[in-house]
Order: sequence, then C-alpha cells, then structure tokens
Amino acid sequence: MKIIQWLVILLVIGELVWTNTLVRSGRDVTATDLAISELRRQNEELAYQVASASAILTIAQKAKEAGFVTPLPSQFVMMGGETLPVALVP
Amino acid sequence: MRIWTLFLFVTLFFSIICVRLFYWQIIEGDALRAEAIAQYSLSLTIPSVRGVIASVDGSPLAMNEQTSLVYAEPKNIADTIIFTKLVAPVLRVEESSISALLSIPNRVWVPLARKVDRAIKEELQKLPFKGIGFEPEPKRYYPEASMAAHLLGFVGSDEHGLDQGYFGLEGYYDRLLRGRAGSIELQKDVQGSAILVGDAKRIEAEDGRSLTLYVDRTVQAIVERRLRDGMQKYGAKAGTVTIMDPKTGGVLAMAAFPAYDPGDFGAYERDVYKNPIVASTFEPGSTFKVLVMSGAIDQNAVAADTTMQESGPVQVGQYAIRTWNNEYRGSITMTDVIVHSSNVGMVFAGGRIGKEKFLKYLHAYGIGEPTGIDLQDESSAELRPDNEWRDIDLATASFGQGIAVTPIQMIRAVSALANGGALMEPHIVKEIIDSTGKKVEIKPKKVRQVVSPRAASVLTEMMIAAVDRGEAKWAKPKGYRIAGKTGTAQIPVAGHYDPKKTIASFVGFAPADNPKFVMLVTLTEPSSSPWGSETAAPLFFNIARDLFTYYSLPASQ
Repeated sequence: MKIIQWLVILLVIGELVWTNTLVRSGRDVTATDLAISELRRQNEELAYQVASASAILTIAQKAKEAGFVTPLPSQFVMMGGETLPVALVP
Repeated sequence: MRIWTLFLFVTLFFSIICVRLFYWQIIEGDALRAEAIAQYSLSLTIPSVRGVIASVDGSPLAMNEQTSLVYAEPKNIADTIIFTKLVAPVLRVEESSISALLSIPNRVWVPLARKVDRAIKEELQKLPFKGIGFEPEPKRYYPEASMAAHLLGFVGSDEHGLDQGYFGLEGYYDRLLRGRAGSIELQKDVQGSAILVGDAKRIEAEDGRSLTLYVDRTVQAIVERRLRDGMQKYGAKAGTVTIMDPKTGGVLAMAAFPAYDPGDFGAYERDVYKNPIVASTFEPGSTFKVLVMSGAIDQNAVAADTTMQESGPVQVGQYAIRTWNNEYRGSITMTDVIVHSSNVGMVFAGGRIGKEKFLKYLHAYGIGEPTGIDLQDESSAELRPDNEWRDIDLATASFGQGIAVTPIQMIRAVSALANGGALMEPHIVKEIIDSTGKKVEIKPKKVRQVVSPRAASVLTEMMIAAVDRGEAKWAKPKGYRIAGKTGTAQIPVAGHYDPKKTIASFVGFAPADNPKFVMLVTLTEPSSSPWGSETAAPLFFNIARDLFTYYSLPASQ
C-alpha cells in the first residue's frame, strides 16, 4: 500500500517536471523560429547583394571604371616611348 | 402569503440569473470565445516566397528584396501632430494623409506605407518616439533594371492589396511563382511563447516555383545595347529584336523599345507595358517571301533555277503589281526573285502553288493563330476565311502585303526553315524548379513538319544568296554563311499605304549550315532611310558579329 502511495507521489512529481520542461521548451522553439527567420532574412539580403553586384549593368560600369574599352577593328599600344607601336587586335 | 412572496422572489431571482446566463452564453458567447482564444492562442500567417526568374546561367532576372510595411499604433502616440510632421517627409507622403489615418477612431493599428526600403526604415527607427512599427514585406527586385522588361512583366497589387504578376512571365506564371501561404495556430503563455503541450495546427507555406529561362542575359544585353544604338542611328520610333534557337524553339533574347523599368512600372504610360513582339502585328513585307517560296519549292511548283520573265508590272485584275524599284531584269530564276526581292516574281511563284495549297502553307506556318509562347499578352491577327481570298489577296500576300503577323509568328516560321522544315513551339521557360529543388524540364515541342528538309535546304541556299548578292551585302560580316532576307513594309494609314512610313525588317539565321540562332529585327518608321537593307539589315549583322564572338563561332569561308 505504501509503495503505491510513493509511486503516485513520484508520478505526480514526474508529471509536473515533464510538463514544466515542455512549457519552457516552448520558449526555445519560439527563439529557434526567430533565429530561422533571421537567417532566412540574412540569406535573402546576401542573395540580393550578390545579384546587385553581379548584374551585367554593374559589371559593365565597373569594367569601364577600370579602363576596359570596347574592342575596335585595330588597336595599338605604344611601347618604349612613342616609337614602337604594338598591335593588340589585328 | 409570505410563502408566496418568497416563492416569487426566488423565481424572479433565478429568472434574472437565467436571462443573464442566456445573454453571456448565447448572445455574447461567440465574441467571448473569440476573445478567450485570442488570449491563449497564437495565429500567424506564414507567407510564401515568390519564386526567382533566372537566365540560362542561373543569374537572377527577377527576385525578392526585403522591405518593410510601416505601421502606426495611434494609442501609443503621445503627440500625433509631431508624429505626423516628422514621419511624413521621411515616407515622402502628404502630412494630411497620415493625419487622416491616425484620426480614425478606435484603430489600434494603421498601415502608413508599404514596401519601404531599408534606408527609410533606418531613418524612421532613429525618430525619438513610440507608436511606429515595422513588418517585413518582400518586394520584387529586378537586378538588371529595365533589361528584358517586356519579357519579364512586373508585380503589382490585386484588389486585396496582395502581390500579383502582370504581363510577360510574371503574369503568365503568376500562380506558380507566388506559391501558397501557410498558417500556424498554437497555444501561448502569458509572455507569448508557444506551449508545446497545447493544441497546435501548422500548415506549411509552399514557396513559389522558380523559373530558369532559355534567355541568355549576355545575349539579351548585347541585343538591347545594339538595338538602342540602332534606333538612335536610324531615327526609328520603335524597334524589336527577337533571337531564337531554331532547334528547340527556346527564346535566347527578346528586346523591344520603348521599354520601361519593371521595378518602377508606375512611372510609365500603360501603353508601354504590352510586349509588341507577341501582342502587336505588322505587315511583314518581303521577309514573308521566303515562306511562300518554300511552299512553292516543297510542292515542286518551282525549283531554284526555274526562270520567269520579269519584263514589267504584272496585272492582277484591275491592279498592276510592280517591283520595289520599278526596274525589271528580264529572265530571272527563283533564286534571283529572292535575291532581288521581286514582287512580280513572287506573284508568279504564288500563282504556281495555287490558292488552296498557298493557304495550306500559311496555316501550317501558324500564320493567323497564337504560337502558344509562355507570355501573358500574346495575340494574333486572324486570317480572313479561306473562301474570301481573291486573286489580288493571294498576289499581294505572296510578297507580304495585306497580311498581318506578330514578330513571334514571323520568327517561328523562319525558324522552321532553319530547322529542316520542322515548326517548333516557342518557349521562354526551360525549367521549373519547386521549393524542394526538384526540376521539371519543359521539353522542346515540335508542332508539325511544314515543308520537307529538301525544301528547307533549297530555301536556305536562296537566303544565303540574298545576303551575299542582295541589297544588304555591304553590311554582311565577311567569311560567314548567313541566310537572311530584308523586308520593307509600308504602314497602312486610313485605308491606304503611307510611302514615307515603313517598318524595316530583317530576318535570318546563322551559321546557315548548322544554325545557332534565328534573329528578327524590326524598326518602325526609321527616318534615315525607309529601307530594311539600309537600317534593319546592318543592325542584324552588327548583332550577329557580337554573337559569333560570344558563341566562338569561326568564319567558314
């Protein structure tokens, strides 16, 4: 009889602890959901930055700033002063 | 007496209790239950993410940008006048509109502005007061700005304020791209955190599908730059360039000007939203001759070396049909008819086919019916019924007058010649990818065999001769075998043709022996010259030169 009483008390305590743990872990789930949504937001932001940086318009603009020019039928650079023209494009 | 009084008092007392219980449980029951549910349950919408549209190399042409919905909580605002004065200039809205929103009685939440970008949000966050909040809200972003605008379409709002795609791919694939929103309902504790032992109901959002296109963004950029320059050089009011892979029907590039920025579509006139390549018709003029001639060759009604006498205008009923320059070359072959774009010669070839077969080829090439391209705004001019075709209609149609086509119909028909006579269904989208990464390929679809491979091959040689010996030979890149045909169509105005207003065009494919691309160029009302050979043809060849370099296609001659 005593064993049953102790068992009931033990089970009640166990139930309380288990329920409390579950309720507390609800906060962890909420925090995890928030973390997921934050990571998703950061991922979208990075994709946006990559797309902006790799757009053809951006690349063309940067190439122009770096000195690249549209190829012409004939192009020369002068080497050794202005006496030795070297053909870049025939 | 006293017992009756007590009885009445008790009865009245319990009646009042019953009435009160009826009021709270039956009349106010639903509202109280809803209030209770709101206190212990959490209900959230899980928004779906709109799918990405990417070019063939995976680079995004349309994607999502994180913006914010800005809202106000009137009950938390200490001074609405100061609030309005500070917030309105940052949001770039009238102060009166914010005041009006804040003055609506019993409102706890008032949306102030939608799709606000990060810089404005950060500026608002610096303001020293409470009562303003932000909710994340995606906005469509087009990394290449106005590039391929007509092809992509744009995302606006429907009557409920929800995102909806309009025109182009955004419109055609709207339901696939937008996906399906999910929801979550669970019980919460006093701090708003989820209670896992309570009832929970979660319906996951299904993100929109993403699209991978046949379109190559480098080719698209080349085409748009060349078309813009060409329109400026030749003084054209409008222009289009369409490039297609003849073997698959996949559209490699599609450009039309004037265009608009799909990220700022509201700043443009509505007329410009329509894609003229699929939604506008034009009289194709001489480019149409290759289709009629292919039918004549296919029927063995003529051969490439069949000769006819081009000695003067040909009379059809009461009408005299002349050559474009009113010059006549005597005995000429069918190849010469194409090379010199002889209207008289085409009347001869069209007459050899006969009305019934002539119309059969028009139908087989898909003239008069939509192509089935996956763009929202496709339309098509209907052909007149077969029994209403007169001799003069047949004669003028043989050289591309009195018949209307859309640019997509025209390029698809010529693609059939580049593809051994097989007509393909044009497509923009190559693959559809769902949110789990599963890919569904849209396989090339052959619609029908229009002419035999032999006829297609003969026509290819005729078109090569037209490029090598025709009016536009001066502009051709040396060393390449290019098949093509110029076209100059007058624009019908108030029942007659205006000789000064033309649509100049050039259609062709290269390399002719194993075509990598078919291209159609149209220029509306070029002012430097009305002729296709002096405007559309050089533009075609300029783009072709760039494509030869891009695709590493060597010269063969």
